[in-house]
Amino acid sequence: MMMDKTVDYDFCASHDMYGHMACPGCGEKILLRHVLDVLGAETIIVCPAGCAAVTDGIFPHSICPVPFLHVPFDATPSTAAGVRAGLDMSGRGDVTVLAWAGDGATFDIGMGALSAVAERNENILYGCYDNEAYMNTGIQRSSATPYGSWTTTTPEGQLESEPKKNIGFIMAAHRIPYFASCSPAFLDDLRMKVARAKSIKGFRFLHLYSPCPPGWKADPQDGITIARLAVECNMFPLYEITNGTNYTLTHKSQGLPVTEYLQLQGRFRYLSKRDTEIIQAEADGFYNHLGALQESKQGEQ
Amino acid sequence: MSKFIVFKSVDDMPEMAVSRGSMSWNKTGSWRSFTPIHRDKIPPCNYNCPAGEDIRGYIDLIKKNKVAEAFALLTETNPFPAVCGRVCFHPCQADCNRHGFDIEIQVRLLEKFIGDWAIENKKKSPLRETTGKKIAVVGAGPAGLAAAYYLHRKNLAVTVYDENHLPGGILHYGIPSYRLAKDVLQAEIGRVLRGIEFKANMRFGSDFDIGDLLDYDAVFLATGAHLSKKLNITGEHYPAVESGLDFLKRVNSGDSFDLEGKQVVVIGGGNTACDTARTAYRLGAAVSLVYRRTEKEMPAFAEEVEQLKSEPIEVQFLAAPQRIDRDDRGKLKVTFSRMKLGEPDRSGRARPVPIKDSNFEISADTIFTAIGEDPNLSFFPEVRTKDDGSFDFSGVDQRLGGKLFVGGDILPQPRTVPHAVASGRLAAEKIAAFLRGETLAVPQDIAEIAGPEDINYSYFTRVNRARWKSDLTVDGSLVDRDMALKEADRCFSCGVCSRCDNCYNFCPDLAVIRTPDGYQVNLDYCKGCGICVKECPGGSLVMEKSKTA
Amino acid sequence: MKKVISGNEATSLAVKLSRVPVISAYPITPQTAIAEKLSEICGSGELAARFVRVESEHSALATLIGAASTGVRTFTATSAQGLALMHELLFWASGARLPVVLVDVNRAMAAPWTIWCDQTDSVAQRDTGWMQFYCWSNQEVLDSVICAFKIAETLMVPCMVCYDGFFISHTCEAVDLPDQDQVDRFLPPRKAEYFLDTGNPRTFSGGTLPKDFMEFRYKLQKAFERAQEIIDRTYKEFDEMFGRSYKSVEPYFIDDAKVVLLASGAAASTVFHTVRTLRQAGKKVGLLRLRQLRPFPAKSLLNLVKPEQQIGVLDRNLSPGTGGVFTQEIRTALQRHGHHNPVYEFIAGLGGRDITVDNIEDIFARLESGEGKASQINWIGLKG
Repeated sequence: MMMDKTVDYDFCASHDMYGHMACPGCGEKILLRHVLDVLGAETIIVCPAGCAAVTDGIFPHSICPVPFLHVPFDATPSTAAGVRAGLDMSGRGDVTVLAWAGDGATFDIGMGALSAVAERNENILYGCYDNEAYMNTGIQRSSATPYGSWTTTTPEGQLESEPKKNIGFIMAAHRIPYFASCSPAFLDDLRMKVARAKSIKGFRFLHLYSPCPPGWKADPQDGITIARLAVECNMFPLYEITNGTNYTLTHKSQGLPVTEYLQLQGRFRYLSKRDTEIIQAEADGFYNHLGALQESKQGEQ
Repeated sequence: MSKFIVFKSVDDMPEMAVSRGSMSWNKTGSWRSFTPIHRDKIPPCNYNCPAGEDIRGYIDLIKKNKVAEAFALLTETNPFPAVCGRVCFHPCQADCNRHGFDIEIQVRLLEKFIGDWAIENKKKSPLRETTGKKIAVVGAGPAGLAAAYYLHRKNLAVTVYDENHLPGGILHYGIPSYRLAKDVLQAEIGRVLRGIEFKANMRFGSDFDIGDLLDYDAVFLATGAHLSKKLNITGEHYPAVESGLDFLKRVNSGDSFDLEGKQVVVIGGGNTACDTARTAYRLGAAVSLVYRRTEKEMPAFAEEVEQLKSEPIEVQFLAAPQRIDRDDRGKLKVTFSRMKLGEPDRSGRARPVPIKDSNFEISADTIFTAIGEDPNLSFFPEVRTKDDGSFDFSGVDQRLGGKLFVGGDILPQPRTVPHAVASGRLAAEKIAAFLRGETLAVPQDIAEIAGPEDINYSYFTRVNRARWKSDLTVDGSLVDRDMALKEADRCFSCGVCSRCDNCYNFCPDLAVIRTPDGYQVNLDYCKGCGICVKECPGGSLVMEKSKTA
Repeated sequence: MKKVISGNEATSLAVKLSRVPVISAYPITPQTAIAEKLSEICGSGELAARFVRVESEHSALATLIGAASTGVRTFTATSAQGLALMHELLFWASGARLPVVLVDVNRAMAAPWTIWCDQTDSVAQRDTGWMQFYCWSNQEVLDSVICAFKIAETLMVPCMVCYDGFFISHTCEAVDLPDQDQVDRFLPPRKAEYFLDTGNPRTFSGGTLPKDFMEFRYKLQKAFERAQEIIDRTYKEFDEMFGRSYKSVEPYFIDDAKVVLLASGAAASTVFHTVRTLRQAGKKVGLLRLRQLRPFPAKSLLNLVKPEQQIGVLDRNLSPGTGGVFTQEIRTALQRHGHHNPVYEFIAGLGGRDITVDNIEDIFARLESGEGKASQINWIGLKG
């Protein structure tokens, strides 16, 4: 679990990325610093309304050490494609365009544009930091909200009744060159995937698990522990899909019971025993399915 | 660090909203109610070690394949790794935080590894220039030898007196060779005594006395406890009824014995009783050991009891001898009464109470008693015994001119090798202070011990408990250096920073800084989320309820 | 060189001559030919540009916002529903001071469904901070698009060029095509003051508190106040380079006119024809052709309107509840500067209904007879 010690300077720290307004224990900020550390200075961020945008800073201040373009909530994929076109047509084709959007902007309001940009295989690195609800506006459900979760729009008695939208398989259906799921608790794996994504041309999608203590009603200090348990309980398996057909699990999970993961988060306090069984079955089923896909090396079309 | 920018006029502002500076003026440290602090804790192994070894420290050195440095660190508190690696009761292992996870670190085996390495590589203690002050040590057991060693390290001239031919005290003359080989013991003692004068065969009271000690600048008395307690029953005076300790001494002095086919009864439940029984067995006897309480109350080390039970020695519990009779052929007959456990006595253990009309008999050719030992202080008439059983040496001290120091099994402390070593090293410190005209400061008891709740087990991988120990050792030693490295690698380094970078990497606010020595929390930006504390594998971070460090 | 081309083709050629490197458009009738032609010339390399084939108009403008933020020149075209779908992004582009140029082929807004011409689509966007120009000929379309890039980039304000669906977009006229090097001299490459630059990393359009936001709107307003001067200067340079002159408000037969009709777009050419005929019959009528809605050319208008003139306005659009949008703007401009001409409002041609010479004669007749009231809307050509 030790980090690569050859990385002995932190890009963000050396570029004054201090004083942001994110909540204590914010997962997105852990993800951002490592993603930027791997991508480096030749990166332009395109970022819609959401936690990342709001906590970046208030005019005329910003934490971001690379150029950062705020965009409307639904417009991330298209604007990123435009930035890519502008850079390519002005001789800056080596600059990485990083779309940095939450689950709301990606799974929901921007889904149409996301599909279009993926289908066209635009040369963009799309990083979706997924905190599993519209957190910035006060914890309303998104299609990334997992089954059984409390949110302000799925309160007690009307808990989230749909399973989490499978963004990996949606991206695979578009046959993009590279999809990967990443967790901040597994930094070596995450950084490897960012580096791998950087080296590929075309549309690359990173699904980044982003713990949110206030939204998940969890203790801020548990953020990384929850992220680790999510992987080890099969709630968030770590895997890659290349060209929409080759599936690779990058971490063999310990197959821990989902209760270990659920009990750390108040958003799951209303689950019945039956709910927990459903969640367990779904999680294990999906993990095993990924294993089978890896075996067959064939994707679902 | 940037400044907070304020525009005074519309003309100062850009045409469009483009940033002009960073957010680092925003000291989010003000959000905090709790503050994380990098603060080392004591690991339970260090805390439990009676000799005060920095176990975590030398295991860390073994991890890094720095065996010479590990040896140097270990001998700063205990000069007897080969000895302790064989006979120590390893309280360090009992509370090892790895215990509930898979299997505790086999510290004793690692200590043995270091000790054996030093002997194999013929490591010598450095000869020191001595200052002119001279210290006398009376008794070459582990306490006396440790005192001598540490006094010599302080550049003091030391002379050790012992009544026996060879140094070692209980190490040589008490502990049997199948537990502690004589050549290993004497090789280690040889290293310890380098530069120190050893006077053998000097019995205090007959070969030298107080007058010979007056010239020394200080005197350390560590003659141990070799006087076996009496059973105080009829028939104890028979010649075939002997102290187990005396028997061991004769065997360990090289006397030959033939107990082939003889019936031997050993009375007692401590280490001496076990050693006696197992030695008699090895000399050919059919041995029974009888103890008046149950296995649970036996004062012998658990490992000793396990070894005893694995040998063909009959062990009986809850029986105490009432009388010994002898027939005309010299055969002894011991009458035992069955016991039951009653209320706890002063030692905290249940007091054995005889059961009426439960007597039974065992025949024996020889009976060894091993029910405890006392120090023999008959050569010091000034010594008073206090109400609690300990001794008042002030009279002797006066006679010596106020320069007497006492240690080892004479003192009311647990009778183990590491306790004795600790006692000797403490005496050396006290003597050095005394020679400087100072008194030694009593160290504060540092309370913070790294327990299992401080360890983040998710960063470690379990080994197969059943297979591990058998894979690790051959004939009671670590298989080889690779195995030592592998075992040391399992050590969590509880309570100390292992430079894993977790706190640095997981901070959402970049508020943990790398320093040349480790890490520091940047209090300007730390919001007190506590992730660093939770994800520290070894528990070297704590959360303080305050806004400042 | 003269060529007979449609309005949409004129747009495409103007974009090619302006060397736009990033184009994104989504097809919608009656704009489609623009998207097709531009796709073709980008694909063939005739124009060194990337055509981003987006999945909606909203994405088209979003793409251009992204590209323009890197400092390059950008272009899109749309109509009606497409323009409406871009609505939130129109505000974004102007707030971010990006000089995007958009051609709106005017088409009526659904419901009910229609593909035919009226101006409601573009006039409904007059609050979004874009400049708006209205054309009545294919030549003017080509010239206005080229000028739009220059004006937009000078002011850092986005600009839309509007013309009637089918009437202008699909009908062919002789258009004088300028030489590329002439256009290059008139319109050099864009030099952006602020753009995404890894050598000078900045954050764009971040959250702005009440204490700072109003100043950005003030600056945008000030840009609009400077705009007329820039527009006039641009037309002067254009005249010098290409020999065609434009004014923001074009007067026809105005000098001794007693009755003046204000009109824009293709309908204004029908008014022109009718006015010329009526003049031959001795009627003292005139036409003022409005070429801008934003910035509203109040100064030019006020210089041309005489206090005793009767003013009619032909609106091919409707803001339900109030009436025609040009009418409102003109009334406001006149009243603000102390003119008291009564202004008569005429709504005609919505949803592509033809505005005929008879309709215009009818308007002048009503104006002359004093039949209408300035306080009511006069619907022209309504059934029954």
